[in-house]
Amino acid sequence: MSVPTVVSDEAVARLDDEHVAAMEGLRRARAVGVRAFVERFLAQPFAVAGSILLGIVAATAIFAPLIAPYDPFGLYPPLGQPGQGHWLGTDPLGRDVLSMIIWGGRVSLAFAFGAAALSLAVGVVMGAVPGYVGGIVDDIFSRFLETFLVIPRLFLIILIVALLGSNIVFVIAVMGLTMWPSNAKIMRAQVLSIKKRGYVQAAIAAGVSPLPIIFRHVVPNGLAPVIANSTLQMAYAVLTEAGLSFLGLGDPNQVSWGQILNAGQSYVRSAPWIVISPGLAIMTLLLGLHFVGDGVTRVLNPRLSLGRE
Amino acid sequence: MDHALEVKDLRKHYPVRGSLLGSIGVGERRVVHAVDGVSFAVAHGEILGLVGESGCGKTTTGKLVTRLEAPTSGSIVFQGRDIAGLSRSQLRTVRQHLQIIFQDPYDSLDPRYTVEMTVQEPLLAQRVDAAERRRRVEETLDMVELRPARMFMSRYPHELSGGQRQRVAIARAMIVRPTFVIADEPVSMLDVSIRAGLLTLMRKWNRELGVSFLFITHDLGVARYMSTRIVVMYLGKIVETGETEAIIGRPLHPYTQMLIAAVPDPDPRNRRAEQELRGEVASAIDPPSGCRFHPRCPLAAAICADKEPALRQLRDGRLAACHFAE
Amino acid sequence: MKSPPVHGKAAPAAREPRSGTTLLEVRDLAMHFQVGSGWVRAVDGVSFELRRGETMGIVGESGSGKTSLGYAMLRLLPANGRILRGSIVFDGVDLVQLSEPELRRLRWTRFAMIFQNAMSALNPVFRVGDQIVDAVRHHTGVSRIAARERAADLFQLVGLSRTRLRGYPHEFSGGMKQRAMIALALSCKPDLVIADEPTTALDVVAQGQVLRQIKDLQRDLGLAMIFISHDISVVAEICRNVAVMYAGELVEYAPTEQLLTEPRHPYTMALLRSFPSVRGPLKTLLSVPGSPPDLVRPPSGCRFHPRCPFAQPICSEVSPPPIPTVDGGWARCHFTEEIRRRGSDAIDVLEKVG
Repeated sequence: MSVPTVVSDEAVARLDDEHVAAMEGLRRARAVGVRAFVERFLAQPFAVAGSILLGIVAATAIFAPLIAPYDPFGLYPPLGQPGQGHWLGTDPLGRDVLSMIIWGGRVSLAFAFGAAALSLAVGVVMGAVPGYVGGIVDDIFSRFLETFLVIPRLFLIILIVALLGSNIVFVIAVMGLTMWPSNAKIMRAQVLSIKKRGYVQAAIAAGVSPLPIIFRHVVPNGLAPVIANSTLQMAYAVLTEAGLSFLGLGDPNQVSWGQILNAGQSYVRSAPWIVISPGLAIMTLLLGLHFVGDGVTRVLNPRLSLGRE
Repeated sequence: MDHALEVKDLRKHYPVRGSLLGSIGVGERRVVHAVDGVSFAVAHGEILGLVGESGCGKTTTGKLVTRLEAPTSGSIVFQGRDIAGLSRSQLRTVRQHLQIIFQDPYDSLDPRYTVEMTVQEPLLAQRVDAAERRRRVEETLDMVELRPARMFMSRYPHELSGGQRQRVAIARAMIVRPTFVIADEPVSMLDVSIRAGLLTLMRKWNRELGVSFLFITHDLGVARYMSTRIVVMYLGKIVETGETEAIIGRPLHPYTQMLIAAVPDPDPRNRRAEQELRGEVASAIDPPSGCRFHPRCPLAAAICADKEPALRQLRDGRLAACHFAE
Repeated sequence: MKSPPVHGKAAPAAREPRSGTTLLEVRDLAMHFQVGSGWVRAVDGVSFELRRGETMGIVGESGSGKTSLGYAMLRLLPANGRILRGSIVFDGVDLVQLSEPELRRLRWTRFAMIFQNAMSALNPVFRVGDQIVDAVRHHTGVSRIAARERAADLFQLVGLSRTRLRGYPHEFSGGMKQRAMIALALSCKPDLVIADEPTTALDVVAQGQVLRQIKDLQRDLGLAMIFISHDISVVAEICRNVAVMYAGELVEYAPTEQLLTEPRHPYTMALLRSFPSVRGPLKTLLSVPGSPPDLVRPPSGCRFHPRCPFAQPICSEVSPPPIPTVDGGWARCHFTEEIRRRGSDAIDVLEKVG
């Protein structure tokens, strides 16, 4: 038997193809991108449960005009027991509780997404830029950040709202602008380690300017824990809004769950359905947010994409 | 321009963080002497090997030359200009001609970027249009033997092997057609059986396109294979320079001798005489007085602790920093 | 029951390797571990023998399964790992059949491991000396004072000063940590030591020092040693015999000198030609085309055939058995005889490819 031949060019090319094909299986376990994320997210039962809860709340809120049996501001016999006509009863002013719950979801979700989104945007920029630039800018900035974090947020919000008004957009903005420091802190910590990575150094060596580097390389790779934190912030926003409304500081033009709690607080014994319903609604939304947040964290943390061979 | 790159008396000192008193300015500021007065030159079309163990300052030297860090003092003359003090925007034109390949193939590619996006990035900074970028990416991927280029362009780093990733990194460095490349341990994290392919690629690049290299490595075998001349560093200073075969065959500085003696060799025909391997690398914060190697040196005498030996010229154009080398 | 080896500078004559009895016999060992939907066949039918006081090297690259083999031999399996078949007979006892408590009695007292990264073995919050004392007391039950003495002796043995016993791991340099690990491994006087890339993380000079230390210790204590590394030069320094591992299998086994001068397997040949040498003549470096195989679905027949310049149709169909070569060695290649006739330069065909 003679010993042949050199491996041909085609054979070498085929080797690479085979190698890539053989990597398919491992690829799915380590892929980046939205699809992989969704796949892994949906593999977790709690995350799925949370998504369903969120979905229910969101659907009710979106389709409120179609679902709600009555106008939430319409007045009917007050303190009516749950029964025919008013499934969840009526509050002391005569408003239908069920309709208020359905419409109230909109406010809660607006706060959740609005405040969290604002907090995310501001926090990311305020954390990434000083973190990347370093030096004095970073030093000054970190001190400022720490000071901010020490101030009790809830009292600050209450103070601002009490003094300056409770228009819903305004309050969402206030919340977003007081929540961002925790995102900034997380983002900054990520940036400090990511800016030392090879691909960032390579981009610098290639002559790319700092701003594109920060927003094309550093932020996307460091966003994971910030996103996870954002889901928690959504829950916080919902709860804070409920608290504000409960204290009577909510926007009187809006129907909100906290408001219902406020209305029913004196009737806990005689008409408990007034406080039970919004309580359950808030709990549902918060559970959903927490489960989803937990699911997101789990997917993003252990080895989402940066698998070594 | 005489040389592709000329470095003179380069220094980089890092402040040592940590002590409470130090951070409020009390007491002497402690400093890591990472690079402490290094001078060398790389001729056009040459591959200069920068060799040493960890902590000797070779990687820092590489970062200084690419201006990823700014030197504490000293000059770096590239294309007739001293780039040591230039600002980022001033460096942009320089960066087209001076590129770097990093050690870690798992770290030097953005996991969220496809190969195409990674390789074309330097062109974005040079403001080349999209169609031209795509053409050059294909062309360069073909040059680094990632074929078929089209297939590789849409891949993500995690779908590639270590060797393939390193080729992508090389492609990214090559795409702007630099005249000078710093290669910082480019194969040390790869399997031995695939190193040769990448080393051959870099040699081809050097031979056919005339690209000069500063090749940083701790592996003497690789340094020997790639470089025409070698610079040996220890604790932030150069201890010996010269032609590769001359240094390997007859090392003049005691540290170089120790380094070569320590390398195991698979070929039983090359068994060498046992030489004493003494001591450990000292601290770069408080380096030994006089000659930094003296605590470990078999030739050490009183003068070695007092007076630091200058890098002096010996016969055959070789340089060594030792009182007793000849 | 054999008497424990004598420690100290005077090496007993009974430690002559060739006349030693078999200490370890591994037969058709297979260890797989589960990853996602598939099983990674990390060790897939490995057999070899090791005599008392003998040194054997296992050379392989990443993905060859060599580290898994080392751990499998001590029955230190990852949570998702299983031994599928085979036997590991150590001094007459099959380790595969033993229960975990029985194994624990043997580990460290009869065989021990030197890990690649000292950090895996040394706890950073305890003094190094205390860790050795704990290990000794845990396995042999001697008094604290006796254990302290033993720790001091061990440090001396590995070339560390006694005063270092009170130090913490972060105060040790890389080379010193590795020596401390060697001391830890030797603390209960094992007959067999498995060293997994013990010098890979070290600088050149430190590596040279630790290797010399290991060589001296092995000789003086008459230890049987299995030295796992990707670096064939390191293995050549220490081991009398070498096995080359690829894709979960041992593809060649031979006395070291033999393997280096007359390799009989294409992979071995390519591997030898991919190390740039520091001394000796400069030769063209060769690269093996392709990539290490997927261990979940390894290639059919000979696992190296997709990358082998000498491959023939039979190579993809039939897995080559170990074919005897010289001096008790063997090679898993259908064409090992042809290779011998052509000489080690036959691998130069790779120059046209690589």
